Amino acid sequence: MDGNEVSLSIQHMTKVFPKGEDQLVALDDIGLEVMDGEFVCILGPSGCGKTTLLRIIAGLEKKTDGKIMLKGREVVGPGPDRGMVFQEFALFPWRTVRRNVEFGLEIKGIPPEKRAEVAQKYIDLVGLKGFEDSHPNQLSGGMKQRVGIARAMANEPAILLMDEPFGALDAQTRNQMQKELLRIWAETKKTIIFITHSVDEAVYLSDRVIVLTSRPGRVKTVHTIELPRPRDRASQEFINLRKNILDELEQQRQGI
Amino acid sequence: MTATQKPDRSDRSFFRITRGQASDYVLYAISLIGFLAVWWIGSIVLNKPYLPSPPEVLDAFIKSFDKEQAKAIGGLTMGPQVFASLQRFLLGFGLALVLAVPLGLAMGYSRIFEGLGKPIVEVLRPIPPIAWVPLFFVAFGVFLGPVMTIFLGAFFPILSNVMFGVKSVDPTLMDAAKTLGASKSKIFTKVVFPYTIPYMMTGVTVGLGIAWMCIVAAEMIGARGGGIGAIINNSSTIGLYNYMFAGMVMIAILGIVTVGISKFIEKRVSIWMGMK
Amino acid sequence: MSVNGAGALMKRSYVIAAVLLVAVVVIAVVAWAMLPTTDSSKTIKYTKVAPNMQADGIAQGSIAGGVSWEPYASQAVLSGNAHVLYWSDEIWPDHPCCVIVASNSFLASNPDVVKSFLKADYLANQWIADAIAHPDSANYTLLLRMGAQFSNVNNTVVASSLEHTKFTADLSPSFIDGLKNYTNDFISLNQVTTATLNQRGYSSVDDFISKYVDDSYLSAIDSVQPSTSGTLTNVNVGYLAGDLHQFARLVATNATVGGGTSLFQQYGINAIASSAGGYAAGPSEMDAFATGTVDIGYLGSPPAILKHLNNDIGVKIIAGANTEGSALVVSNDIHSFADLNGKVIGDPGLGSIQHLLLQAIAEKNGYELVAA
Repeated sequence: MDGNEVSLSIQHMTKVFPKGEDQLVALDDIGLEVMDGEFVCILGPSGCGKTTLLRIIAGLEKKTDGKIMLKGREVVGPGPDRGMVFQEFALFPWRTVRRNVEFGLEIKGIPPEKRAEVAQKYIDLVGLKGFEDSHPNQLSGGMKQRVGIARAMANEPAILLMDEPFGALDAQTRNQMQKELLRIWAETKKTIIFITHSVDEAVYLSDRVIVLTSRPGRVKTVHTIELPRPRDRASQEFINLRKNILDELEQQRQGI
Repeated sequence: MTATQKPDRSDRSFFRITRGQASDYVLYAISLIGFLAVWWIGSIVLNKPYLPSPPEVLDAFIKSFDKEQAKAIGGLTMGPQVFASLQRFLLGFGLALVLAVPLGLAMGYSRIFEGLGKPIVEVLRPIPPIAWVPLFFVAFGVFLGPVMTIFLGAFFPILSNVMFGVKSVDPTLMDAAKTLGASKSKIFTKVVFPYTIPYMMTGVTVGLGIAWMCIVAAEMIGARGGGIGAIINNSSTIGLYNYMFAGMVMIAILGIVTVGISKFIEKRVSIWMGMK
Repeated sequence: MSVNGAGALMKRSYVIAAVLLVAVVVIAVVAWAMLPTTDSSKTIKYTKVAPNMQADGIAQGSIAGGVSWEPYASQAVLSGNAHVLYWSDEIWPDHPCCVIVASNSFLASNPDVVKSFLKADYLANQWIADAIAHPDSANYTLLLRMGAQFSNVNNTVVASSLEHTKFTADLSPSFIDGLKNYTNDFISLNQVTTATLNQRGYSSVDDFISKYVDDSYLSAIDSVQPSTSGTLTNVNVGYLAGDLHQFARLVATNATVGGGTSLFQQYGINAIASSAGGYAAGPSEMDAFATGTVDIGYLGSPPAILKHLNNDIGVKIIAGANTEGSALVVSNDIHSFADLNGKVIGDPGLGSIQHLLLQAIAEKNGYELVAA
């Protein structure tokens, strides 16, 4: 972690969905802070609102109440300062890998040569050198997600939001991508907020794990994981941490 | 599977025909030959003047290009009539394309446009374009009358398909674009529009078929200004049904060729855009 | 640096666009090459315009002239915008025009009714001749009024039409010759082939006419008496819209003419219009014969000949209806046939006698008739 600067700050954030005559409280008084360069996981059972939370941070949905500050400035609405990686990859099928990665740069109006340079850098970073001219439908799932990561990062956002990015991949690819992500994170020192419902993944990847309750979504606990990387899944500390969080979730599920 | 595999580009080559496709063509050939055989036998068995045999139709078809022979159908030779019909077709279809694509995009993307346009579209669409022919002839004359009919015929399929395309855009793609910094207008030009192109091509293919039907019907009903429809009409008046069939064969050929080209383009565009 | 990727895509789209463009240009050039070299000197163009629309067409300038049957020729003239360039009898003196045609099945099943029909028709023609001979009579006024109502023109137009039409059912030798001439015209236009003639069982044009025209019914009408039984036989009668050549039919259905009951009724016939308002042209009426909708009909002799031969429609010509009575009228700024060079003339359509007339006039002047 570089310095102790707060990158993202969420204060008293609430999201309410109107539901007929009633209303559904999806997120209730969420407060959390993410430090610059940190890798944070938001963990919770399905339907606890973690995706909604991420989308509100990204600006794709509106919050009902509260404040979200990024590097000291309030954020409303989507923007290139918060890049996002999607579970379904969301690549533009008619564009090649290179042109997908260049998308954000095109929007910014960066000239073609500079664009190509930057795009190449990130394509190399995610390990897709040689596939610049392929179309998404020629790539495997893992490769597609690498493109997704490259595309988001090429825009050089302040934070990277990842919505269960490896959920659509098979177990082996998933593990591989986790390692790849850590490598990329180490090289770029990006602040990452990562959504998952896999405790194993959360413990493997993150500096801190924020556990949300479900309906309404509240911050239940925050676990700090101080294990050095690369982490050994077989180590006792790993297993303990995982068990703790799993138990916590199980209690939650049983309504304790 | 790591990122060290060389990308496979073989299915992106322009002309590739699989074994499956070859056997399809064999089936097509059998079907057509069978059809011809049934027609031929039928014409002999029935022996009616209104069902000429394939050789008679072929004979009339060839004769229709000759000025001397075509006196039989009032001096209308096939070559210039095909040209006349094609002219009208291209103009009417082009007009439909130019108007329906932007309108479809607007109506698919904007609630306001949709709300304003939908009632008019829904009222006009069910009226068969052919019903407008007598009016168009009087209002627009002998050349533009059929043109407007074709326009109406092709307009609605293109409009519908484009609208549908716009509405089918995966919302996640639009989300991705937003998080990459795209404004609403940039989302439209860089995400929605490219996404809609294959749908537009489908609309074009459908519209093409309808357009050919309209043009012949219009020329037949109007019975002025030539065109293949006029040949068909004249043949019926005189009772020379072999020429009538020849005209119909010509239309079939033109229809198959144009729709075939369109379908080919449609497929290739989809593949080329990676949206097969 | 791989900007080549995008470049390759662009290149491909250019290639496709170029190929398509070339294809379109090639097709256009080929189609253009197939346009016949129009010898712009000495051609007349025709287009289909219904007779009752021709006067307007000439007035508006959309056509330079028109060929039609009476009363529409007179209508155009009396409207002040046109004058007659040729009456049909100037091209073909005493030429046959309309005929009475009967379906073979009706002839077989109701020969006596047919004879009664022809008798009533004959008496109607006599009445018409008498009225025309006495222009001061009440009958003449009645005649004009009937015609005006039927054709939707005024009395003066009707009077003018009567001057150039001869109403007769007589199948004279010259009438028969005229029919042979029409047949030969069709053959020279390739609209009827000798192969077709043979197919229908005729060895030659003469053979055809002698078999197709059956005057046996007409010859028998002298002995036909008015009907004594109270019942009327239904006959589906076909005719052409607004066509005064077929005046006899109109007269025979009129009650005043018959002095209370119409001539048809007096001879035991209930004449039902097979198509309300009449047919637009002869070929359509022949098609109606083919479907059995018409029993006896009045129509032009050329369509009767043409469609019988080409479509094997089972009918026979059993009497004439009129001779002459058509004209080529042209707008007032046309003074000679040469002035029509390259201009468009309206006619009722292919296969009609008026179209053949236009053809004959063109040939007579050394011009070629082409489609507009």
